[in-house]
Amino acid sequence: MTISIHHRDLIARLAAAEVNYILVGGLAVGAWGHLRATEDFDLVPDPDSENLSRLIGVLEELGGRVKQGEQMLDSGSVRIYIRTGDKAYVVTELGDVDVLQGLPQIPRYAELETAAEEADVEGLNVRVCSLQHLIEMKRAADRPMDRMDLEALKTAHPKAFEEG
Amino acid sequence: MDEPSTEAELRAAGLLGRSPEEHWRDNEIAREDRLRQAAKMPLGVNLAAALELSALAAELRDGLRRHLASKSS
Repeated sequence: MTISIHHRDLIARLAAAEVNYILVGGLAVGAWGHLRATEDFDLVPDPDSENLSRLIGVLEELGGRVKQGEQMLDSGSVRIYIRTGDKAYVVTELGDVDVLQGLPQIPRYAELETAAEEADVEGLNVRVCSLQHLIEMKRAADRPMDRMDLEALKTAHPKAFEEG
Repeated sequence: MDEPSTEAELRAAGLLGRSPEEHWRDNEIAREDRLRQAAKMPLGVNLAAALELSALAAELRDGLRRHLASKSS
């Protein structure tokens, strides 16, 4: 089975559908300067009902299906998971999308939005979580990868850690 | 002063025949320098590079899988 990653195209699809979200996770770590490969596109969506409908629409158009552990769920599961505000790991034809909602270690969208930074990716606007929020999330998750990310971010942005 | 360029000059400057520990330390210095340089770049530039790297890594993984599958079939 071939699992391609075309997250740049995914960004374009989300932008075209006017989906509001904040980018977090490994790609946000990359945006803040620590370049490493990652397999999923982690986003925190605006919980506004119409926005979630637009997000669901994009994911369904891309053949999205929720993956829970080893189990791939029915295509209708995308709507159920996102509507109920649960975390949803969605496998799509453009790569995996981790829709993060309802997790204690992830700040709510409204809080992330106030401090998010704009990133221009070849004409496409992506809102990336602030460095401080990224550091907070990495500290809370505290997995081996998060600790490596924190070490790299500390080298890149030492002042952000002094202030914290 | 010109950069050392001959074998003798490179050896005299301690840049040739370095120990594994010195190579490792050189790599760490280069890694930290890259991080500091990337921290000065616009987020969009870094994000574009991260997207490209992830796509490339996935292509390499899939290519390796196909190669291994063709060898075993």
